[in-house]
Amino acid sequence: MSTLFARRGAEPADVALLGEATRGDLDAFATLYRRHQQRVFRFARAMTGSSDAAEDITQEVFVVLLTDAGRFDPARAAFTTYVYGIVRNLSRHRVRRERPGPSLDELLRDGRDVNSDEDPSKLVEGAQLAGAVRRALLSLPSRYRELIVLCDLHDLSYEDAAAVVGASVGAVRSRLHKGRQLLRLRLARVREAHQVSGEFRQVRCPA
Amino acid sequence: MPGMTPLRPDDVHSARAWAAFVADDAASAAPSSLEARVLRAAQAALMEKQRADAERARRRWFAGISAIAASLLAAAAWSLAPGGAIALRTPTTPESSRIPESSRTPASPAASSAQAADDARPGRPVPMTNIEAGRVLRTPLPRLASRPLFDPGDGAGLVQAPGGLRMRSFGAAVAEPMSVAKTHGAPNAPSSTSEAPAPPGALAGSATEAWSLRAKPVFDPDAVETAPALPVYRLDHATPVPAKREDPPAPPK
Repeated sequence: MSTLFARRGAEPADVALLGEATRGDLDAFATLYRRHQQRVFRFARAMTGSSDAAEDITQEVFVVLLTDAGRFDPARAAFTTYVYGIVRNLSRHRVRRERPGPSLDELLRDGRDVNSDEDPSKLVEGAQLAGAVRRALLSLPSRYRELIVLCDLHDLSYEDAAAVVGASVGAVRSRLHKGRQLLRLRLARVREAHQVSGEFRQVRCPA
Repeated sequence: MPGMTPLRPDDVHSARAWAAFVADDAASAAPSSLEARVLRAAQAALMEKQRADAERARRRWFAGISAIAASLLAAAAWSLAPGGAIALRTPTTPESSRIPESSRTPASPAASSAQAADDARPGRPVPMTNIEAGRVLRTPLPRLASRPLFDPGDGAGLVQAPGGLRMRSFGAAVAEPMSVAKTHGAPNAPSSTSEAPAPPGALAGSATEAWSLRAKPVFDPDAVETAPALPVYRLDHATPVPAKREDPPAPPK
């Protein structure tokens, strides 16, 4: 079922490491952490939009892995799919507990702020563009956001993403299509706002 | 297809924005201090889990020991019953059902002696179940001693329940059952306990006793006193004959 994870061939080692870590081997746990912390942190950061929240979620994910290792069933899903599922649930819980993502007005206001920076270089422009995409992504509903992050950012297949979110492959395709449309629409509105604010700036501040 | 930009490839601005976002995401990494933090949290969680598991195992062990001790206590209480006092109640035979009711009352000496013989009869005791033992052990001793154990079948005999304890084994007084005669719903019928015990085979003397000692509440014409005949009224009796009117005495002239 999991083509990507089956090709990687690290699943038995992950399961063995998890078993040793459950028995109290902290070295095995550290190995497991170093192997998966990058994708856990990235996924949590993309889902919550905050590095601090991503750190907390990363810690919580590995603690849950250690304390509830009995819930993992290798026959049902790959280990990485299981880890992604934990990150997804904790991120959704965190986002639901805290305030929701930024509204479109907030996005537009941020865009004007971004555009009002003077003397932009390419590096700063790239950071601004990345920030704009990140904010647009955060404004999406989580059922669309998680699939865009999993499939377009983490290169998971539809089958793996379906296993992570617990939906069928058809539902994943449909949600992904809808999410991409929404992301395009919101990015276009942000760009229009930038252009409008640029015209205003030109009017107000003629050279 | 996964792994492609979710934005339009012909949209240069969006493509650049997505590429910048992917580069920013790939460059993001958890701080190195997070590893030590996670390891500390994992160690604490592991110790907490081991402590909880040990506590759970200890509670389970104590529960098992308690169950075994309770079973042993129940078995000891059952075995301490004197003379294996548990015996199956003998089934009612047709011959015994033909015995007159008056001779089966516990007030009669014959019935009492038969009861005592039943109790003293050696036999294989019926094992007491845990539920029965628990009920017996939970019952306070004074209440157990004063409890009238009557068989609801005939209302007079002692209940021969399996596992019934004799208070003698606990050093308490033996509670003798009170004999109660059947009244069959006659609330004002006098109890036979207040009277002297009748000899075996003797019939009841009074009409009330005869009515109350029957197996079924039927009407006994012999036991009912004959009521006095009602007076018969006739018409000529109903209208009294007026007394003959005498002439008043003549006034003196």
